[in-house]
Amino acid sequence: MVESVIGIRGKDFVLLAQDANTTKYGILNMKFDTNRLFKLSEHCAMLAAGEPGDVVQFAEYVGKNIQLYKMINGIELSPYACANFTRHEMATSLRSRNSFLANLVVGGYSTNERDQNRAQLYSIDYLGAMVSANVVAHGFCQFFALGIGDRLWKEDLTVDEALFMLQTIVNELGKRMAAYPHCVFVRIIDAQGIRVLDNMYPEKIHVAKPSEGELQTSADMMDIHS
Amino acid sequence: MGDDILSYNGGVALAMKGKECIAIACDKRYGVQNRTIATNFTKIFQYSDHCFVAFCGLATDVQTVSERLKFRTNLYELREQRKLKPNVLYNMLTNLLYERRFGPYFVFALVVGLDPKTGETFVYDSDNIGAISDNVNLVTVGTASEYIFGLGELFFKPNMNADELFEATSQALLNGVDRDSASGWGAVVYVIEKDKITVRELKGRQD
Repeated sequence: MVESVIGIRGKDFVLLAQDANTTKYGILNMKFDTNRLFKLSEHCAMLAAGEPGDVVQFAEYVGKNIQLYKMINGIELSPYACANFTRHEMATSLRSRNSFLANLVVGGYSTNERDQNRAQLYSIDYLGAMVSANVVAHGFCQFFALGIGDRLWKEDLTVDEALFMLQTIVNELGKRMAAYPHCVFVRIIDAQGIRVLDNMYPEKIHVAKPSEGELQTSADMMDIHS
Repeated sequence: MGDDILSYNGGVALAMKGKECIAIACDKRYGVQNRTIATNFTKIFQYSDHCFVAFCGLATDVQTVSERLKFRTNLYELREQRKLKPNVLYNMLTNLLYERRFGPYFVFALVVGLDPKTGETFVYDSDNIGAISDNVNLVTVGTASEYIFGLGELFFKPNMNADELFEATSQALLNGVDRDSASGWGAVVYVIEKDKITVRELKGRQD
């Protein structure tokens, strides 16, 4: 719940962002450069957050199977196909001995020219419910990301506008979340593939110094020596 | 909402019968308890030229059951070399659900269909373990079903034509979801007649 994974869909690209902290016992920051992105194919990737072991096990299992499909059949699966495969695995495992507590964001660019929307973004929760949306997020950051997304997302979003939206979300997380995201890793997926963009950091909060007036009490104001 | 699995994601669907036409409608909200995540999650799926099913309940099971049913109907059409009839689809669905009697899927379903030759209409509903219903005039499933049943009974008249049926269905749905926090955010209405199917998207209160 504390980890942030966010996806933003723009015109012919998808932006995937994740916080890079690993926390332990609810209070300690163990690691500042955690990777939550799992590549599924050349133009599709998945962000996963949730129970630590489950996340890696499930994501690697899905990723390797998608790679295997490519090796056997010679074609790369579109993000839509990857997401549906992932959802199916999640839903099947739900009612089995091994269920995974992992919330996922699957996003990518479809290399199939016949697809109407080339940039595809899906959110899959730990129960296996899949939905396609323009802004997706999991965890506490959902409250911020979806609200800010409602306000700032528009049709044909450019990369700069999407990065501005993401910076707004990260600033808000920095301001309001007790589990402060020290650093946010940002990747973009478009026709050229998966690229890593510069890290994003929450804006430093400036708080005014308390005024001197607060250091006086009413007792000080009484002149007791006169 | 507490920890009631069937209202975890929310959603509602209704179906009404007219004269040689049927209407099936659902809302578009996908939420997790009191949070709305997406507003494009429709719950109606087509299985044949004039057969539609709506699933309401846990979103993952809506998707899983619709996919599993699609698998079975695809095989049926390949083996039988003919399209499904509504009562056959209904029996397949209730059988699918009863197979999981002691570990059920958390979806309630509506099945509607029309025979294009005779104009005979079929509207059925099912609970999550495949209880069979009669061919009735009005069915509703979902978190706002009680509200919509009341409105549906009010607006329903026997032997409505397609336009009246659309109006009655839409008003029952839109006003019913306004009373339920877990449903709404737009609606989709399918009106199925012998020669055509009309899909309309409704914009209601966006809350």
